[in-house]
Formats: sequence, structure tokens, C-alpha cells
Amino acid sequence: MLDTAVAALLAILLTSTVLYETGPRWRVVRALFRLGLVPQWSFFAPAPGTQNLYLLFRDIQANGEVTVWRVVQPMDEDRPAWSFAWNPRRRLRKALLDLILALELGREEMRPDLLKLSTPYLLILNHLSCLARPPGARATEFLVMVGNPNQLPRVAFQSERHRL
Amino acid sequence: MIEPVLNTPAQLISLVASLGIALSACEELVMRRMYSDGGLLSWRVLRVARPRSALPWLQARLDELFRPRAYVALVVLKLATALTLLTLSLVDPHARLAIGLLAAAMLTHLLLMKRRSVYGLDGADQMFAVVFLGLAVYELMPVGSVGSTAGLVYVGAQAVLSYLIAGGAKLRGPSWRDGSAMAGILSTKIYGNTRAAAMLKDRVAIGRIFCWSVITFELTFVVVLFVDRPVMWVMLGLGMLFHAGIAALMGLNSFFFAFVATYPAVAYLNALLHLFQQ
Repeated sequence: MLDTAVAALLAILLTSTVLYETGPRWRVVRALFRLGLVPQWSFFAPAPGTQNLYLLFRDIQANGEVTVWRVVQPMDEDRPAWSFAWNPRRRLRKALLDLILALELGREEMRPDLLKLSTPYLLILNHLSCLARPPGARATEFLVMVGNPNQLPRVAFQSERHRL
Repeated sequence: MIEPVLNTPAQLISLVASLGIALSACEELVMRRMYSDGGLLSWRVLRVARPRSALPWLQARLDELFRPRAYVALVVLKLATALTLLTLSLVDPHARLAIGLLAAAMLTHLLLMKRRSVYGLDGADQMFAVVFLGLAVYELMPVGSVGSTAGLVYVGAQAVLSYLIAGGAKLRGPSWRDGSAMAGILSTKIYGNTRAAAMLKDRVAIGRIFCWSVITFELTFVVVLFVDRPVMWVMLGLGMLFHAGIAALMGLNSFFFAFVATYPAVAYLNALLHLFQQ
């Protein structure tokens, strides 16, 4: 009895994996995916990300001066040579990429006033607000830039100014 | 007849996957500030957006667990679980109950990680969840039972499915078909490699060969289940080279461990299918 139940459960997970990719995403399939028991296997496909994304921020000082734009985390740097074996920044850079892509998607789907309340926006803003900075900064704003290799990046999104 | 190939696959799966999780946990600990209140994945913000449990007491426990210090402690526990599993798999691979419980604990770690944040996760995390679910089932069910066998079959089947689905998705992508996808990916800062990108730049034919090699490998990997053992080993060897290449060129080191960990289960499934054919 237990044997059958276990085998059936695993068969359901396998079927749900196929359904999530190819078939109808029923509520149960979506629930299993959200839980982490159904994977999504379509890596870098059908349209892989081939652009560089950069998150930058700048502060507005008490005297009204504006600082230069600074890239958040070394998103503009190449990976070190040993990253094939030891790549601690992998998850952080992936998280940044996920957040920026979610923000981009939200920009297409949400009103600007709602976008400001979205999780990616708030996570980025919270992180930037907590970064160490010289005293005197009163507000901050951020910018997402998109660039193809060997081309000048273009502005994809600019936030409002937020008080620190 | 299945018995001689029974213990070895589970032992190998456990060893490789635990090694991968240990590496991944060490990397997370180095970057633990990511989970602080001011970090990019701050629970202070995430808790507002993540789905809440219908059970208030459970949600209260999760809120406690996902706070910065507790979550880092959880990552330390994940590392300890991986190292214990690694040691146990080497020293006493017949301790089925202990290995099964540790594998289940590892699965719980991975599901909690997804519960806390969907940002920053990748395919390796998903495959590790598959591996530890299958391993837990295999070790906790009675030896030689259908349920136990299903655990390893599940891991092998998901591995084959992962390549098939990934290959199919690439086949639908215009940039994969015209050969520009790999040059594009390798030109990015996050997954790129300057030398490889320079080699592929303006060399459309080479790019096309690489892209179609990946598509062909992924779509035909399913054959590994039906070929004779020598051909199977060659195919699994190619798979290892494929993932070593991904680690070297794209920095996806954990993918190597997560996917190679499934290969003993693929070999097991191959043996099982041949057994049924006889």
C-alpha cells in the first residue's frame, strides 16, 4: 500500500514537471512548483539573456549636490578565473539579475505607483538605503541600464528619489 | 539481480550531491550579508510579499527562522548536514535510516530556501531537491521494495526529462537555431567568458556548431536509458564534460554536482530497463 502511494506520488511529480513546461498549468501543478517539488528545466531557452544589466544608484546630499552614479555590487566586472570551482557571488548576482528582470516585467504590467510597492523595487531600495555611504546623503535614486556587449548601455528604468 | 547495482548508485548520488551542497553552503556563508536586514534578500522586505501559511503558528516559526541570524544558522546546519551525509555515505553506506533522514532534512532545507525567496535560485537548486527527495525515498523505504526502487527511478527520470525539456526549449528559440545564442550568453558579465566570447565573435559557423551540439546532446540524452552499458558510460562521460564546460565557461559550478549526482540513478534506470527486456 505504502509502496503504491510513494510510487504514485513520484509519478505525479514527474507528470507535473512535464505539464508545467508543456501542458496546462493546473492549480495543483502551480502549487507543487511554488513548493519547490516541481522543477522548471528550460534553462537559457527559448530566448537566453544576452544583455548585460547594471543597477546603479546615486545620492542627493543635504546641500542639493548629486553624487556620481555608482554600480551596485561589481555587476560590471568579469568573473574571476577560479569561478569554475569557487563562485560565492553566483547567488547574489543571480538574485540581482532576477530582481532587475522582475522590475522590468513589472514596468510593463503595473502602474508606476504600484510598481513602487512591488517586491523587487522594495528589495532593491531597502538594500541601497542600507549601503554604507558618506554622511550628508538625504535621498537616493537608482537606475537600471541595459547593454549589449561592445555597445554603450542605455537607461531602461529610473526610480523616483527616496528619502534616506 | 538488481541487488549488485542497488547500493552503489545511492552511495554515489549521496556523495556527489552532498559535496555540491557543502560547496554551495560555504559560498552562501561567505555572502551571508545578502540575508541581513540591509541585504539584497532581506526578510524584512520579503516577509511582506511571500505567501503566508494558513497556519499562524507555522508562519510565526518561519518568520523566526528566516530572520538574518537564524537563517545563517540554518545555512550552517545545511553545511553540517551535507558533511555528515558525506561522511556517512563513505563510512557506513548501509545506515539507511540515518542517510534517509539526513536526505529528508536536506530536502527540507532546500524547500525552505525557496519558501524564503525565489530570487537567486537556479536549476542546480531544483535538481538538488529532486536528488534528495529521491534519495530520501530510496533509503527510507524497505530494501528492494517498489517504493525504494521508485526513489532512484524518479531521480534518473527527472535527469533525462531535464535534458529533454531543456533541448526542446532551445529548439524553439530562434537564437539557438541560428547559432547566436551561445555567443550572446558568453558575452554577458554574469554568465560570460571573455576568451570564449571573442572566439565566437563573427564566427557564425562555429557558433552554430556549438548551439546545435548542445541541442542534439540534450534531445538525444534520453537514448542513454536504452543503449548498452559501454555506450551508456560514454554518454554519461560526455554529460560530465558538458557540465564541466558549463562550470568553466559560465561559472555554474553547482550545476556540475547537481546534474552529475543524478548519473548513478540514470545508470540504475538503464540497468532496470535492460533487466525488464530480458
